[in-house]
Amino acid sequence: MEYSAYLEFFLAVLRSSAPLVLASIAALFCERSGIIQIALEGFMLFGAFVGAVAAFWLGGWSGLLLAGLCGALMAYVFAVLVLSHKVDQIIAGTVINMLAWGALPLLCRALFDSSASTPSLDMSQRLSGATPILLAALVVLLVHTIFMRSPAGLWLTFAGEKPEALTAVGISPRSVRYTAILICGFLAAVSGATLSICLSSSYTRNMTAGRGFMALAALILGKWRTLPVTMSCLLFGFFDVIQLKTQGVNFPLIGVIPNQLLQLAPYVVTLIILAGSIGQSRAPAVLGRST
Amino acid sequence: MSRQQEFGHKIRLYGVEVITALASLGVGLFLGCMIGFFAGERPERVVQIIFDGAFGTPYDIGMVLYLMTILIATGLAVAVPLQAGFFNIGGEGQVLVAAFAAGLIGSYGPIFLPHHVAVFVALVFSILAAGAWGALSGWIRAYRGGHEVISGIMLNFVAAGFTSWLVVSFLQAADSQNPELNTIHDTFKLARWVSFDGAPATYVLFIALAAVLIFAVVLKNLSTGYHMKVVKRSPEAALTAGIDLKKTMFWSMACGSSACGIAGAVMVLGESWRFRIDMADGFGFLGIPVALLGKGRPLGIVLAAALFAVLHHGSALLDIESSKVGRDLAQVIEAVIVLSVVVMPSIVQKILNPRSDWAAK
Repeated sequence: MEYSAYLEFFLAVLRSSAPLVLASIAALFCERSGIIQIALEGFMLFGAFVGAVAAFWLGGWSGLLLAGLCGALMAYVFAVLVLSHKVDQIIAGTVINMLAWGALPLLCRALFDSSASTPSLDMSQRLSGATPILLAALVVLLVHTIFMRSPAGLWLTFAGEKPEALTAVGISPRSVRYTAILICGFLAAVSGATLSICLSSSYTRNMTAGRGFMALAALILGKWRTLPVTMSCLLFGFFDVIQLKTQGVNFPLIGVIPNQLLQLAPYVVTLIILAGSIGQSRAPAVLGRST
Repeated sequence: MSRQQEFGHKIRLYGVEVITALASLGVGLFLGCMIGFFAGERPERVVQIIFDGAFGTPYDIGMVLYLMTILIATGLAVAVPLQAGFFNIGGEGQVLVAAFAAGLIGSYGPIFLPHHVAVFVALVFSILAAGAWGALSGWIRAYRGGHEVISGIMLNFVAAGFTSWLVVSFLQAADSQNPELNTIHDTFKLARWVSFDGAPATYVLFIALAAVLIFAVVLKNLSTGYHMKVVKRSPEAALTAGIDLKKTMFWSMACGSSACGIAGAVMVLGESWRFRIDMADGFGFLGIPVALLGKGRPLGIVLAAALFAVLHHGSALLDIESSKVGRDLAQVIEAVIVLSVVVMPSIVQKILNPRSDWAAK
């Protein structure tokens, strides 16, 4: 490979990991504050749909923004369920996912007479493929700074590790968690919208295809820390591009690498991490038990 | 408490649960109709189409019975670990590996066996496969501390990818363009009940019901059931009482998920007669709402499975009969039903006693 081919490969990796980075940073907010977030997939799907629809009518940037707001709205529903009504976090997440899987095709059909996809966006309505990369880089820097340098980062961490300590200094863990969930919904939906506005030209049925769950995997692989999580997303993006590039290529000694197995790599790695044979990944102390 | 008082107390307790479930059902259907209304379809027509779709012909009734078999099994797979406080979200993967096992046994297994023995062998292998797949989650949770929900989700993807790799690379049926295994041998094919015009309703329904019965007996009459409840309500008390927490975790996941084996087996042996890679098709996932609506109780699961089977099969007709709404409506109704089931107690509590929330803080 020559220089430009390397560059192209590198860009492809960045492009395929940028939505993952956004989504797993979203989940990072939530889980650091002690809330298990499996509704990520649902938020992303809502974002992808609302983003595509809003971009169709108003243009690309409003698409991203409206998608984010809609995601925050869904996240608010999740937060009310979990924090005000003490619904189990896993169940609430499952319900949000079910709603996204069921309601979006219905909405799509009601609006555009097709449950499979929204009308294709033309170039002026779309955003360039570099947008998600820049967005993701910006968000990572910002979030890293928040966790390293600001009191808000400490509050989030304490809400997830020792809520009593937070209460003791006069800050309610509950409001910290509300905020974290809303931010999570916003970012996850923006991540979904980049899929439909920047990386393709319409929303298609179930277009996130498990990326929300893959983002969760990246979160665990990255041990709930900003930069390692970002690196895990890049790794998963790398797997993704490799799998596309090596389809049907016959390697010396190894032969053809079956792409189903490459697709599995992120999940298998996460399982191994969960089973704890390569460095224990420790979750926030009250993760899943906090309401 | 006298026996009579105890009985009255129990009736009231069940009464509240039954009312919650019925009210949630009402909310779900009402919202479903409203969605239909806003999409431009008359509400009563939506209900009519779903009803016709589920009960219109003997074939449809047979399909409902078949789906009910699957949903009882996958619902049970969620409900059993839930009794001990664990959440089995890996039903999708468990159904898939079970179906794969059945398909493999069916096409490469011993064809000389008589029908009933052959079916029994396939069923046992399916159940073992599903149980082993779920046990992985249980093992990671009990002995390694990784959350069972995350590992369950990962195992769903691994099951899908792994079976599709095996099928595409090694076991592809020669007579088919789709990624699937060979058709199973005749001796493995389950006889369909004749009165349903060839719908795949089979006696496996009774096997699923028997599994529910076993669950009920274990829960009420055996110490294992008691152990599970203690582990859920108070792990500390369980430790003090000498109950092995890890063992309870592990076996509740393993035994629960093995119920998915029944679902996977009936899909292959009863319906499609071969393993396709996209077989699980959301049924494993649907076990979650079934178990939640059924409140994890044996009878509740059966009723919830029946309801969801009706909704699921009935709404398929919407795709054909209605130009405004499609079968996805069923999923929204299911989501709303589950939502109301889990939120209603808290809302009722807040209405009856608005200040209690503040007092608790």
